[in-house]
Amino acid sequence: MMNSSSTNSFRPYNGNVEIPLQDLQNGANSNSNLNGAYMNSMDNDDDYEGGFVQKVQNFILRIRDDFIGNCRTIHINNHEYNLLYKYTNNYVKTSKYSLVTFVPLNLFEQFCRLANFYFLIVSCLQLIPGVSPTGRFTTLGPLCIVLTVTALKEAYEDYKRHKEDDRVNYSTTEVLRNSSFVHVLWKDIQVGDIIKVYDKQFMPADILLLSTSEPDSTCFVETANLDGETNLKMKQSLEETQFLADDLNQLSSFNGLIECEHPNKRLYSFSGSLLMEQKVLPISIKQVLLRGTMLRNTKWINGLVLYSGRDTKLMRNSNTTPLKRSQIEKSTNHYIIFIFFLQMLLCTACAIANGSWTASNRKAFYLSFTRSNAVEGGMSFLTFLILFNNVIPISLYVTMEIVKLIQAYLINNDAEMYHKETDTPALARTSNLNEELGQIEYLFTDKTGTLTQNKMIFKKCSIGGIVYGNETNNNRSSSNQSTPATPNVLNNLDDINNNNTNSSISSKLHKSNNSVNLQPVDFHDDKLLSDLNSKTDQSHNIQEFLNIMAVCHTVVPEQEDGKINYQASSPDENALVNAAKFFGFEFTHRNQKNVFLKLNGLEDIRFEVLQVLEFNSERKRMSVIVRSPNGKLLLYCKGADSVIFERLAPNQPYADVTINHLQDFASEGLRTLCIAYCELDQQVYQEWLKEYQIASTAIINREAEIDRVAEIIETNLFLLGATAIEDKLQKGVPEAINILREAGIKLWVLTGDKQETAINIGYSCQLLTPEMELVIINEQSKENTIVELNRRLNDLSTRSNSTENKEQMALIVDGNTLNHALEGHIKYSLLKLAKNCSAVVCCRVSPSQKAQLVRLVKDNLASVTLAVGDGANDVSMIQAAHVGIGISGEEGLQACRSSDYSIGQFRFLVRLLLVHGRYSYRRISKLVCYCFYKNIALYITQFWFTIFNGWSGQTLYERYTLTAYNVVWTFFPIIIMGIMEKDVSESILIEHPKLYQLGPKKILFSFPVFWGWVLNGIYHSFVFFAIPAAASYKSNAYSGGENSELFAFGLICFAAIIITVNLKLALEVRYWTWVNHLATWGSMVVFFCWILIYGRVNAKGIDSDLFDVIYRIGESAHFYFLLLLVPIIALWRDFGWKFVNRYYKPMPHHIAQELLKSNDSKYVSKRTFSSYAFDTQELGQSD
Amino acid sequence: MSNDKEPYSKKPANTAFKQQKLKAWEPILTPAPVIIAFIAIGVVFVIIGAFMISSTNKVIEHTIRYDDIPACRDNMGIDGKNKCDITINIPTPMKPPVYLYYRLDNFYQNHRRYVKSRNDDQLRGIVVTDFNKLKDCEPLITSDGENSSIDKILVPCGLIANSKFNDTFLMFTKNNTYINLRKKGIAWTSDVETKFKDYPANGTGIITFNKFSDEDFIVWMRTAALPDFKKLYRIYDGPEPLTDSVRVEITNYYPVQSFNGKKYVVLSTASWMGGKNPFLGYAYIIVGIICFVQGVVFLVKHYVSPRKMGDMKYLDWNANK
Repeated sequence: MMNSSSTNSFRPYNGNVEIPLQDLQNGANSNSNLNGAYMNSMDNDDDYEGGFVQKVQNFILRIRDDFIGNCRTIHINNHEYNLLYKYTNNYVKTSKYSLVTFVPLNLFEQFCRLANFYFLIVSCLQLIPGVSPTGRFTTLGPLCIVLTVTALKEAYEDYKRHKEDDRVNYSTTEVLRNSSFVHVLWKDIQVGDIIKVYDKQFMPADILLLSTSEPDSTCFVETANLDGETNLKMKQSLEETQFLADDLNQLSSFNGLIECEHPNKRLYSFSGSLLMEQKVLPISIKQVLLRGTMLRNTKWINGLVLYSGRDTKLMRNSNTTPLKRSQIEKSTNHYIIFIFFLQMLLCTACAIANGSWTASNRKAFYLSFTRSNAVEGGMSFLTFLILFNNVIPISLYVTMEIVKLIQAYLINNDAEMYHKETDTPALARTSNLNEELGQIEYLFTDKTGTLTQNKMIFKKCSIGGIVYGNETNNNRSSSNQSTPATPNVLNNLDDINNNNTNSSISSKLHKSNNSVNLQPVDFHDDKLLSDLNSKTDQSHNIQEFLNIMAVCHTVVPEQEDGKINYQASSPDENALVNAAKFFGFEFTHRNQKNVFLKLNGLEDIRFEVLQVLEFNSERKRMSVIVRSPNGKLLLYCKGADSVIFERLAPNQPYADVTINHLQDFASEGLRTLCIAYCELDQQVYQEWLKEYQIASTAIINREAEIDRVAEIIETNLFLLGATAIEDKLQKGVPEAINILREAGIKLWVLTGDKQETAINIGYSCQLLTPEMELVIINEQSKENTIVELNRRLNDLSTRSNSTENKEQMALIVDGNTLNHALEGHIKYSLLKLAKNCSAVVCCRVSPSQKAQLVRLVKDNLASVTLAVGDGANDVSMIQAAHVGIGISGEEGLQACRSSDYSIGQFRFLVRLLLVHGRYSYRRISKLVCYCFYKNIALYITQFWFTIFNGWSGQTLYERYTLTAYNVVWTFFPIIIMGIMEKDVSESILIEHPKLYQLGPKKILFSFPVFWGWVLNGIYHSFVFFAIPAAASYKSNAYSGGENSELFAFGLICFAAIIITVNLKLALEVRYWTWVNHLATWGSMVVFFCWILIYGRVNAKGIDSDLFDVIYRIGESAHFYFLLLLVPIIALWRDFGWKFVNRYYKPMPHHIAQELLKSNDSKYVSKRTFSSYAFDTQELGQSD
Repeated sequence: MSNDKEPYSKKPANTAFKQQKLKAWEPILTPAPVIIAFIAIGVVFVIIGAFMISSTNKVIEHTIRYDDIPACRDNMGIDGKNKCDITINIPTPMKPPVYLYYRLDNFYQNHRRYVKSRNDDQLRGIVVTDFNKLKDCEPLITSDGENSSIDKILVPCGLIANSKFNDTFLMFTKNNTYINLRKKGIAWTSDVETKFKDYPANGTGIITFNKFSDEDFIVWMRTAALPDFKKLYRIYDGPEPLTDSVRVEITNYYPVQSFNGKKYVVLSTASWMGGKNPFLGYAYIIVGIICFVQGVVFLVKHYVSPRKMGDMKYLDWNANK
């Protein structure tokens, strides 16, 4: 149900969210502090330019959410009582408008846009009789068209939302009413209702799980709609409510009271308690099924509605993405304000001139002035305001919106950014930032899942100080893997293979992104198994190691046709569990209290799981407390080396050697996890348990409490060893990085991985090259950080004096240093240093540090930043950057949902930036400049004319013809150019990445460029007026002796303008498709047809100013010679200037065009851009 | 959540538009076409310009100001003393058709207040009594300025119609023979036929003048674009050319002192380019010369220090710095 609506309206993780499990693979080695990051992003919510309307809506929401009391109270099976609390019903509304509110609300919204409001005021002024020089509707007409187009777009989008809402609100579910389940519409479900949901149905509200069809009262849910994770999650009801089962009598007589927190957007936490039979039972997120999730592998469940409608967590999270505007749009808005002031100045000057002219010509009888000079002047101010109002282009925004929408459409439909393996095309989630993609200077990228595939493969391990999996027998032929030592392993291997083929089918069925091609285990060492069977100490170590791998995780096994699918939210865990299985420790199933393993495919063993201390990126570890089959009480722990080593007992036998191994692993680019355990004393455990239970029922700060208590028991660990998991680079990453670097984009890799891993990956993806000098800053204290940064900066300055190539430096900083380096003024030193390095790698950074780094660059350099990431921990960075890009990968869709564009693979970034970004930048830059130019060219002629008409503000142009200027005569060619224009072909852009610098260097849109266009417009307007005026001086007669007159003169100017302005655009167009031809020549033809037809109109009630004019002037040679002369004088400058620039000061794109022209196809085929080959190959098309 | 989609269902369609592969012509400004264009424009324009000047030179135009002649001054028209004469010398014979114009300087017929002050429906001979529709005629709608009684509506209303130029001209040869001049055809035929119709003599309002189809009136109603303008008055159809000199007898009514205006009589022939205005010809020649010179300079430069097309060294953004 929510799948389609959720894609556009809903975004999880905006608030203070508890850490999702799947962050394990990122957080395992990182310093992350997700909570902080999300708090940040929440705090920032209000700072985004969300528009006035949104602020109002937020305000209203806040008022409505003024909940009473500390918590929500729900009386089970007591409908009347619940009504007293006036909880919202389950009606969900994602639509913005209703039939009644559409017009006022939409208009209001549109008028919040400054330009629209301005034109509204001008339109109102025009309605004052006697003020307007150009009739009453010259502004209102185009404005209405502009508003209508935008409103239609909005209406269509809202219509879709309405349909979706209706579908949701009018679906039914079974609700317990009067001792029986009846079908009730979703919108009529109330808080406190007991409902029944069947397999593959969606939850209609947030409900408390009471009982299920399964043993132990468990059930599985799929949360893809909520957070994009496709793995199943297990939920389990409280033991105390299991007795309800499916017994109608029990259910309807069930009595109790629930107290829980007020509605909030935290998807991964819930605090509440159930009061029944004099007992207070804690309820956690484990017992809560959220709206939007789907019941899976469970016949039915019964649940109690906790939150309904807009109080559900799903709806709480459906915030709109923060509105980002591109640099060009921001500058444009500034220029508009600037132009507005110039226009005011012009109007004032003209009004003063009008007053003084009136004063000196007062006695002119033919004008019979009645009002005083000052009043004349004053009123004329309004006249001039209207006359010049369109110097600010009215059609700019609507033109831009249409063009950007189509540009986004082209991005979505680019076959070369389509990832076949996952069936994901590129997706522009906003069209606001297309041109921003062409101006990127700093690129921040996550490593895991962005540069790498995030498909974890178990490669090696170190157990008891011995490395396994180090063998060189890399028989990589997938069909014939190294012969396993024992038949067991062979079986297991087959199992894994089957498993994977199986899961590939099921993954398709489940719409899962899980790996199809890659085995989660790639291990070639027989020694491990022989050591395991050797009955030594090492054997014990290995056994315990494998136990931990098989038991300490949150993977959910799914039985299907006798095979087991592991539903892991983290690829790392998946790899570990599969590896355990590979070694004969197969995890078969779990229930609430137990984990079952099958040893070597024969022997079933059971671990009683007493507690699970879950992973979060602050803890960077996960532990389980189990009772082993032989009755020992054990704590199994796996986690990042930094946190595990802190918690080891003294006198570790393997610590030192393991550290060496960890470094070896890391320098091979492998991800590591430490495995440790300890035996617990029953007494100690019991005492700890009490404290833990208090913490886990706390309503306030529950998570922090649990973390604190968990800390207490996770001590005195015994280190067994470490695992090493490979995360392969994505296809084409090194090439892509090379191209991006050549394009002048500075790459910063921000990763949670260890320094060695990061550097190694840096080399393998060619971010770092052997010629580069690595500047590694790794300090623990603030003072040292300052000293080190300053030393490096001094080095740098002495070196740049000695003219050595300073480009070849790479900065490596780790999270600890960043903690200090991002504070206060130190960050400027860091920035200065980083600016001088061609690559920056930051390791062990937390999500909030990622965002801080992005902001550091964004706020302090005048550069456009882009952040790429794939996981929840990248969300804050993606939102902070000018442009955020999500890789739709293994980690669900959180990153994509908060991103501006999403792509399937990192390498598509090349095409997105170098081709689409650069094209859009060029198209939009030209479009904005041209829109201003064409209006200035037209309207400033009115100024020249007003000098000669007594500063009276008389218009030269007929009103209807003038009205259509922006919406017909000059509307289409610029739109077509905004969609189709290319200066050089895509292949050349990829082959010569330097061409990308057009955007970052602001060649096509900057203050001087913009004012150049404006001045050009003024020059053209002068030509448009002066040449025809001089030619018809003293009313030069036509060949028939008749005189020229005002509107004939105006029409000559106007026709010359239409021709020139369209030809001016033609000069800018480099890529002439038939559509361009049609639009350009068609516009002119349509204009002449119009004046020919309109010239025949002479009806009562119409001021037919142009009646017959075209036929009169059309008889004179005068007219045609002017139409030839004026465009040539005007465009002479443009044409000559273009040529001189191109010829004597060629820009790289000029050269590229010439290259392509001079030896055309030969050139292209000669070098099929090795760097780009991957893309063309993939599509099976050649360029 | 439909799972039954065929594989690769989201693959974008491979159409020329979606993949931005529409066939296109990609012209670039290479030296050869640019130089040729400049030189060609130069040559063609100079030729056109020369041709225009030669034909405009054949146009004979005589302009005589008369408001500064004592007898023709403002306010001299009282008591029948409003007649004055001017003589136009015609050294070169003027072949018919010869056009007689009057010209006014510093008269802002293009003033906004003036241009809009008319009512087209009324001028079409329609009796308009709705004050709303007459609003454009401000400030001359009614005789008392108060829009209360439809009987006081001015016919014609508005500034243009009420400030019609009313000097008249008669033309005599040196021998004082009356020269017959044509009035029909001085206005646009379309105006005469459709836009202007006589107002009913018994129509509502204070009718000061109702012959709206009068061509002098129509010519006046077509407002001029610039403050110095001439308007066609009469046409001399011949058959003999005008020679020697002609005397123009002026009946002087129209005051111009209030706005520092000047009045002229203009006698002119016309060419295919219209009246005597060499501007367009000179403009063509100047533009032609500039383009030609520019083309030649580019040509020389191209031979002396050519830039290799597609020179890779310029692919560097710093090449020009």
